[in-house]
Amino acid sequence: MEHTLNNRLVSDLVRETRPLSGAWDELRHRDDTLRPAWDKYLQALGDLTVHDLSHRWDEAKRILRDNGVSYNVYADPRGADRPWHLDAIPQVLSEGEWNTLAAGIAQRARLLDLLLADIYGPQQMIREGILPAGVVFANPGYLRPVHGTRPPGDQWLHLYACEILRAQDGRWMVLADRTQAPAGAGYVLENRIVLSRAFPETFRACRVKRLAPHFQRMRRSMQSLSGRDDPHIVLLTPGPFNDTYFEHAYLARYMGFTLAESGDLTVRDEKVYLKTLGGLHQVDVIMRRMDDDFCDPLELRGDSGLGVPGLLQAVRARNVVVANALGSGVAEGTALQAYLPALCQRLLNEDLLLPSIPSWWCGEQDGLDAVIDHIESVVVKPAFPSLRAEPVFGDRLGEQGQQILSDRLRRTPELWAGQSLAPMSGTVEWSGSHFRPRSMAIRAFACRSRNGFDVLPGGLVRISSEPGRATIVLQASGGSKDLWVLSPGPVEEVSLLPTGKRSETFRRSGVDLPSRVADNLYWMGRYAERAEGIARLSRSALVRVSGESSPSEITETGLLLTAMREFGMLTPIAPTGALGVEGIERELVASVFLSDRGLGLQQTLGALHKAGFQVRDRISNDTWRILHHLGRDFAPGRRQGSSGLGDVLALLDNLLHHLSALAGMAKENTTRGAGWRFLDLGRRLERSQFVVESLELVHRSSEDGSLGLEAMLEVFDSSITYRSRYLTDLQFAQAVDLILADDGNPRSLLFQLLAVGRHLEALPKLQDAPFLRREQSIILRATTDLKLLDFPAIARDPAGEERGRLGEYLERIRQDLPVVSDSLTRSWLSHAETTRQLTRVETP
Amino acid sequence: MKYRIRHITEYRYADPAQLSHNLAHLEPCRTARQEVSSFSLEADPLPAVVSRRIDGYGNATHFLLVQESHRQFRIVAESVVSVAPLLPPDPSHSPPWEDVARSLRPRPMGELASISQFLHASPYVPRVAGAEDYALPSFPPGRPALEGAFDLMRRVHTEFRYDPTATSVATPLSEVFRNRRGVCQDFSHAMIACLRAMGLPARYVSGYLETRPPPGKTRLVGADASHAWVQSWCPVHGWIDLDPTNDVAPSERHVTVAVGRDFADVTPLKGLVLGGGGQVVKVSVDVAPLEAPSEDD
Repeated sequence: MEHTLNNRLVSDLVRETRPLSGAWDELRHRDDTLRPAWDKYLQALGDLTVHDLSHRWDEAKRILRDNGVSYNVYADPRGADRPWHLDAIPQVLSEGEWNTLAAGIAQRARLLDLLLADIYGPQQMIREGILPAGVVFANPGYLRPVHGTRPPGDQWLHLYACEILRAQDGRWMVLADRTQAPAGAGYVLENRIVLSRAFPETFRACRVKRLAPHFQRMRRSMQSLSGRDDPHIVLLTPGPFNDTYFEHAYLARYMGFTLAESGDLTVRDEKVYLKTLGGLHQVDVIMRRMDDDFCDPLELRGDSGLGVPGLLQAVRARNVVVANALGSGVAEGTALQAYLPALCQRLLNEDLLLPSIPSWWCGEQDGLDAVIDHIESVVVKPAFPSLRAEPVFGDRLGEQGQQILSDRLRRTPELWAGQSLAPMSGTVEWSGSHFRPRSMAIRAFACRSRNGFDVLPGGLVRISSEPGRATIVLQASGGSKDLWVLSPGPVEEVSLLPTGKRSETFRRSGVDLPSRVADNLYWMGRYAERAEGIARLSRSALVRVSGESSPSEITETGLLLTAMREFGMLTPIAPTGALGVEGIERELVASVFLSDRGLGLQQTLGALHKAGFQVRDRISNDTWRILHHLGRDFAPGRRQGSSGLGDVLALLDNLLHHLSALAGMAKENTTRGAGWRFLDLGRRLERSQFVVESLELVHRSSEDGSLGLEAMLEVFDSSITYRSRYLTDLQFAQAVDLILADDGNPRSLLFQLLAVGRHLEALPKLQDAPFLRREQSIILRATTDLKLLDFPAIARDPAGEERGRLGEYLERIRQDLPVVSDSLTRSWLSHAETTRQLTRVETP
Repeated sequence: MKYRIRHITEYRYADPAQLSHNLAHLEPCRTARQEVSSFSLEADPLPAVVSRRIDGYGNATHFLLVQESHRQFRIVAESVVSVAPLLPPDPSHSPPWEDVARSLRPRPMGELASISQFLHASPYVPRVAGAEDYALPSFPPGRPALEGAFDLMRRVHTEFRYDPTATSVATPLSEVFRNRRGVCQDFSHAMIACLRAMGLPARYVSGYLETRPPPGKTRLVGADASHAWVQSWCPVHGWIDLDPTNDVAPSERHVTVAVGRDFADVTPLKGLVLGGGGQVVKVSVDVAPLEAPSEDD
């Protein structure tokens, strides 16, 4: 049975899957013949078998996972990113059908754009009674401080999205409009990249309309907003905890915009600036992914800690363009839907091409009566999306429930709207082993272009197992599909790199590195190095425990364990001697996995991942994939009960491979800008700290300093160098010279100090700072003192006076290094200052 | 009456503040009954940006931006204002309240549309359980709208207790209704909630009230305060001022600064500061009559 299914053709199986009953069948005509687009697609699948499909689909899922495509769920108790679900089979539409639909989408965008200009301007639609006043005035999305402002060209809407679905008779209808900061376009791109990579032949044969030209137009449109030649554009995100942060970072990278959080921006002189390492850089355009009312805590909502104080004033002064314009959220919501046909006639003098699902606003008597009379066949929603109430399906309520609902509507009618229950159309989904029927809705996207609105030839298809529950939102747990618009002719090929316009500007340094980004890069460097140090120590200790256990090795293990304890990697439960080899082994294996260790691998890798995630837009996809991989073997809950020494050693080896790859990416694939300097500063300072603390331990452990030397050389990857240089036994002075003072050894302290010194020198000069900064003078002194240490004297008398000087040196630099880090943070990266509300005085 | 009004706000910070964005509703408005012969707004340190605009309700708003390091911030608003007396409206000469409510529904057009924006819930005056029940006794069927509003004012005045310790700027209206105590801001919000619950438009007025020293005592400079009251609307009289804290229809002793849906729209001074640490704020208001008070007020 299994065997036969494996050899079945995918196209046959798709053909056999029946849609959910009562729904419009996306695949077939009424007479059971395939619709042309699906016919073309199934032919293009060719002789792909179920076996091939499974194989390729696993691969695609791996790409999704590796790219870290995710969706944060605020309320998720795991606090984690939820993986993104994409179906193997796209939704296909013919270009002809799509064009009709796209014309309707573009018209709605034009209409809502004009409506916004009226609502925040003359309010003619309200005065004439075409739009009930309450739809605007009772709507929390109507931002009064915005009234009277006029964005350049009176353009309010730049990005638009809508949820569309198909009724039983095949007509497309709109479930909801998105006019604030529509999410999802980034997921569309990612879906497309993954699916076309998994099924390249099918994708080519279908002549799928490309997405890139749309994004190119979107970028051009954003660039043209400021009227400046080379505008500075930022994408404003609420931050890494936002549910669609992945997409913010992804789009910022793809479009070449700077990803900025509220705290990265500041308003001075009625202009918006980005806080960067090089000072303040004026921002011309803000593409915002933050809700309207959070954008300016001075004039809009002041209680969230988000937003840029004074932003609205900068908008009024016309020193910055925000897209979509602040306040555009008032055009969202079910209440407005009922009035769109009349508004379209009045504002555009056209019929509304793409209707909404029949909707009623309860704020008017007729609407209230209609909803209450048909309570069993409507879904009751908040009239305005910012009211954030869950929709209630009338048909799921008993008679009593319907009565309670009706009473609630009568009490606060203007806050409610009703919408017909609309069954969604039926399509198919690959479950991993078979095909099953699903209902679907599409989120479509448009952006402003030179002549009106340009509609993305694709979209985010959301699928659900329930027929007729058209309340699909991104958060819903269902899956997604890519949407393929099949073109009869050749498709347009483009790249996102701008072409055409000639520029004579050259750039060598990216000056606009936000301080927050530098901060995260610095910590990425530190955590990566810390993880490496921990892994090396653990590995050295484990190897010794698993080996022949000669007496010297057991002593060495003792020192390593002491080091691990001092660094907080192990809990000091018992003296090493008392544990015995098996006890030590248990303790070591546990230390690798347990998360309650102050400096455990888990915390460190977790922190590394987090720092990387916050600068996702700044690091290459390859680097991100390594980062994403890194923590997986050590993620909480990953430990198998039976993890033996061998398994753990293999894991550590693997981890060190990945960490080397990360270091390699930083060394060979990163431009030597300020960002790289901070990444490298983090790494160098962390490594210095590690060398100093470890050596201090060796220094303290025995009179002649021989105890633990061997292990330390191994931890610092310097054994082979030592052996090739010195044929004698291990000597303290020579080994310490190699680890501390050999500037040719990339693991030596001197090597780190010299690198740190160069970085500090190269960072942009602070104003009014003609002298060495604190961190510079510390490093300078540490470098000089290190060079002045007399190693031959130590070699002559390993317990003599110079040995004492070495000890003092190590102790001082151990205390100085954290000062360097703090001072560096204060000079460049400080975000300690928070914005708070001034006390408002109650009117007595 | 003619007054010189001085409104001083002073913030002191524990640590230096780097940046301070402020929004002020401190300039008295000009109306048929109120003339503003001078107004000045001064701040120390000197703001880098001072920008004045008229907001959606017709109020003058000032945006002040201080961008130098400072440990205190002082804003002084000074104005000379003349207020003409108001012939008290005849509350019985007003349409039945149901008619007023109906005239704004279902779809108010033209001027009525802009009046209708004061029918809806607002940040400080959400829909509160109990507001309608509380208002009903003042609005029996067919009662002239203004008569009902006057009655409501009197009841709020007598049934709510004036208690400066009971509330803060953050006390929700539901709590004010439950405890029936608060200050003029709470009295006004409560009365607005009641009027709106009946389908009648209501506005919040921010301003000043001239206080008179007890007989034989001299006037204390700076001991006055901001004040707040309510406006209720009817098609005959337009917006009529009602002060539930004092149970009077404001006349010459009330100076109007700004009108809005509630305190949030017309907060005298609000701002955000970068840095600064802990803060202390001090406000002093002085409403000094520039002529002898008339005896009949």
